[in-house]
Parts: sequence; structure tokens; C-alpha cells
Amino acid sequence: MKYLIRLAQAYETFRRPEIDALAALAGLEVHVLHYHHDSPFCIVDLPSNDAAKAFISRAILCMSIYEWWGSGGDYEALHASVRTNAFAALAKYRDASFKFAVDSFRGKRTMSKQRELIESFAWFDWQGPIIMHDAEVQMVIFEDWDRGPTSAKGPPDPKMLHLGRWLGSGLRDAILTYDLKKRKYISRTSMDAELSLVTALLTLAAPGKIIYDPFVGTGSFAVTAAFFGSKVFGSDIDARSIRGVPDCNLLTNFVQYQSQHNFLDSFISDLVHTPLRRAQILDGIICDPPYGIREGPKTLGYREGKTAAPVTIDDIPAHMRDGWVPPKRPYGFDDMMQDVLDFGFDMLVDHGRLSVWMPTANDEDSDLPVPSHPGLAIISICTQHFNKWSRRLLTYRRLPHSEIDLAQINVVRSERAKGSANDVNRFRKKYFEGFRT
Amino acid sequence: MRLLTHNMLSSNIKGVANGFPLRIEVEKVVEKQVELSADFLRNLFPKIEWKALVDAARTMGYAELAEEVDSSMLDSNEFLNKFHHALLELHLEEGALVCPETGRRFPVNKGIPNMLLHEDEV
Repeated sequence: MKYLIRLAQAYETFRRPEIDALAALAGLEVHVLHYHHDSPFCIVDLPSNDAAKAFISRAILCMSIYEWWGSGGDYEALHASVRTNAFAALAKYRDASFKFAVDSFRGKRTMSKQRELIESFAWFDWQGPIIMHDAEVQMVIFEDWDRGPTSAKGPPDPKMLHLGRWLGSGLRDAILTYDLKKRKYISRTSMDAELSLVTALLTLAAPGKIIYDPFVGTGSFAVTAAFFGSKVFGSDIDARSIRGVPDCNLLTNFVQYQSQHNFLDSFISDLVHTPLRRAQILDGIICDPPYGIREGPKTLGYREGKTAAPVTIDDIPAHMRDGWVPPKRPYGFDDMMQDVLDFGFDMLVDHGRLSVWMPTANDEDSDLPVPSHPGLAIISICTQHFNKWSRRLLTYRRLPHSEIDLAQINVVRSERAKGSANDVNRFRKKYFEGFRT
Repeated sequence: MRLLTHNMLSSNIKGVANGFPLRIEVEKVVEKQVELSADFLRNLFPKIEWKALVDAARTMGYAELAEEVDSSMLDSNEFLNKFHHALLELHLEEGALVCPETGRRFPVNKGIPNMLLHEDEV
């Protein structure tokens, strides 16, 4: 059956991956019949109304879903389409309470014009009362307008019209709940609420699952993954960000959102020297690694040429004391991405998801390539644009052993051990390492 | 730190062949009740190193877990309650995790393990 999804007209490249993730989470197959990046109206095929309601129940960028009754290039065509597609439904709602609304994207209609458009559907001959709140049948007329030339008044008529019956809405209120301005514990690298929520969705965060953030910081992704019901834990190389201060730390963020039952633990560690035992334990990995714009990539150790013997303070080795700030050396971004992917391959269950953010330049010639791993399939590449650069959310699926060439994984690992894998990328590697020699 | 986290952590010091499970040095244990999720426990069960969990729970003062288990026991509420309590409700608040091979201590302060290695350990 056909359904119309009313999308947010924002973060366009994240929208289709969200549609796929929502279907995967609800255990459904979705077929996208009509989608355009410049339109907030998308028509999909789903098995039933119940399926559509399950589909929308976790949505962020998909605002609402409607039973599709018809579409047309003008009102005459729309009426004809409704007559053909939804004629049987008209009698079904003959005595139900109902209301109509007009949703004009990029267009404006006066109240009297809206009324005229709504009254053009009087031929439905519905006898039930018209009520504005919680009507049994809520119809929406959707108008899709072209962007007119900026100097003129815009086109005289919308380019496309749809009619739908409301079935359900998603979780967009969560964007306000998780607004960074209202969150107690944040840092300069906290990710905004809407994208944190979408990232958790693409990782398929859901009840019963365990999700890990190896660069947890102040927990932007941990709190949103917990919002979707999964249990989360995280680690960070920076003990100060893990511990925070007594009334303002990772745990207090979960307390603020009343989701502390979904927060497992946090610990202090370095992804490169991860203390997690290598086994397929995790359902999802979600992270925004430091990439040198606000926080630089770092791993344990000294810059080359420097070494130090362990220092003891009051008979306790300094590096085991609380509050120890370890020496960190700059760390190549390509190397870090490969470490993240290899970690994901080792730790994710079959078909588990890894969602990782990485930066890229806006200039196409210097775009960073999408890192790959023989044990992971890339699911989606979403882009958020800034003024002079952009960042991408890469989502991978862990392949089951039956689909992996293990010999190829050993080749990749031994090449990385030799340090030759990134030599082709020498300039970029040096750039991200701050040109150290 | 819960025993679920203990069950996933190992000593990764350079040269250590088998850093799992870490021995627990207890200074302070706290119990915090949390809602039981049977789906989560069923998902986690096959991923848990059972003997390590039984031994860790005993070290923390909880000896109710059976030594031998199989997945059919997940249908029993009594078993789920015990598994849940051991895995998620016992917290090592103060103490240390100790590498079984080298004896290196990883301190646990305010429930947070510090697994960072020194430069000459990596």
C-alpha cells in the first residue's frame, strides 16, 4: 500500500538512510516510490497501516506518515486521483469526526483560500462532525511549490499536490528535549541534538541492544542511543571528560533525561590500545572521533625522540593515580579511521552497525576517500555542510563470516602492521599529524 | 563498574598473552537496583564468559550463580533475576582490576576503571 511521508526539509542526505533504518528497526521492507531531495513529500510502499505506524514511531527526520489517497499536478488531477484510489475509503468514514488541513511547502495560502481548497472536497459527502482536536479522520492537503526566482513573486501554482490521511508522527519533540542549550554537561565537541538522534537511529539503537562509544566525551551519542532504549557504555582517553565534576558529569546527563537505567558504565582508555576483549559483543558502535578541528587525534605515547621512565609520587606510580593526564602523541587521521573500522570488525555482532563521523573538505579535489574494510559493508554516507568544510556520517554493517574473505583481512592487517598502507596518502597524513617529522 | 564491564575488559599490556579475566581487588562494593530487561539479558547471555562472571560475583560477595549454565535457563525467572543482579546491580565502587599475568593494577575510583597504559607498556 502507498503511504506519504512528510519529511523535514533539512539534512537531506540523512533522510533516505533514516527511512531504511526505520524499516530495519520495525522489521519491514520499504520501497521508496517517489523521493526528491528538494521536496519534503516522499511516497513509499509499506505492507499495512500498522506497519506504517510502527515505521514512524522512532522517526526524527520523518515527521509524520499518511495513508496516501491521491496525487496530481493540479487540483483537477488530484480530485481525479482521489476518486480512483480512495473511493472505497470515503464511505468508510462517512459518519466519523474529521478535519482537513493544508500543508503548503514553500507556498503561502490565505485563510479564505485554504477554506476554498478544503471545501473543494465537499463531494466526499461526509456527515460526521468537524472537530479540530483529535478528530477520528485527519486529512491533509499537501502542496509542493517550486522555489521561484528571488526577484519575482514566485510561481502562481504549486507543482505537485497530494492528499493523505494522518496515521502517526515521529519523535521530533526529542530534538527540543535533547537541546544542547538545556543539557547540563557539554563540551565544545558535543554534537547537536537532531544529528545525535539521527546518528543513533542509523546505528539501529533499540531496546535489548548494547551500544558503545569509544570517544564518549560528554555523551552526545550515548544519551540519544539510550533515548531509543539501548543500553550504552563509553570510554575516553581523557579522564577529565569521563569524570566531569560531582554534579556535572556523564551520569548526570542520563539522570537529566531519566535514562540512567540505560547507562551501563564508562572507563578511561585509548581506542588504539583498547582493553575490551576482542569478541563479537556489541550491537552497535557510534562515534565522532577527534579529527583536529576542535580536538586533535591522539593516542598514548610521546612524540618521537622523547621517552620517560615511570614517575612515582608518594609510592604510587603517577600513571595509576586518579587525575593522571597521560602523554599523548598526535596520531594520523587515516590510521585512526582504520583502527576504528578494524575495532568494529572485531567487536560487532554479525550485521551490527558502526556509525562514525569524519571531516572532509568542500573542495571536491581534496575530498577524503571513504575508508573501507574487507569485513564491513558501507551502508550510507550522509553529509553535513559547513561554511568551508563538511563532515560525513559513515555507517557500516559488519559482514557475517560467510560473506568475508578472511585471507583479505589478514593481508590488510599485516600491511597495516608494516605501516605501508597509508603511504599513498603521505601529504594528508602529515597534514593531520601537524607536519611532524 | 558493573560485572558486565568486568566481563568485557582485559589487560592489553604489550606481551601479555592472556589478560582475561582481570582479578578484582575489592575496597568498596555498592548495590544499585535497576529494572530488569529480559531481552537485554537474552542478548548478552551468549556473549558472557560465564566462569569469569561467577568468580567475579563471588569476589564481590555474591555466590548465587550456578557454575554450569545453558541457554534453556533463560526461560526461568529465578535464573534471570540472579543473572541480572550479578551482571548489572553489583558495582565495584573502589578497588582495582589486576592483570592475571603481570599483576599490574588498574585502579577503579568512584566506579570508573582507569585502563590507560604507561608508555612503556604499549
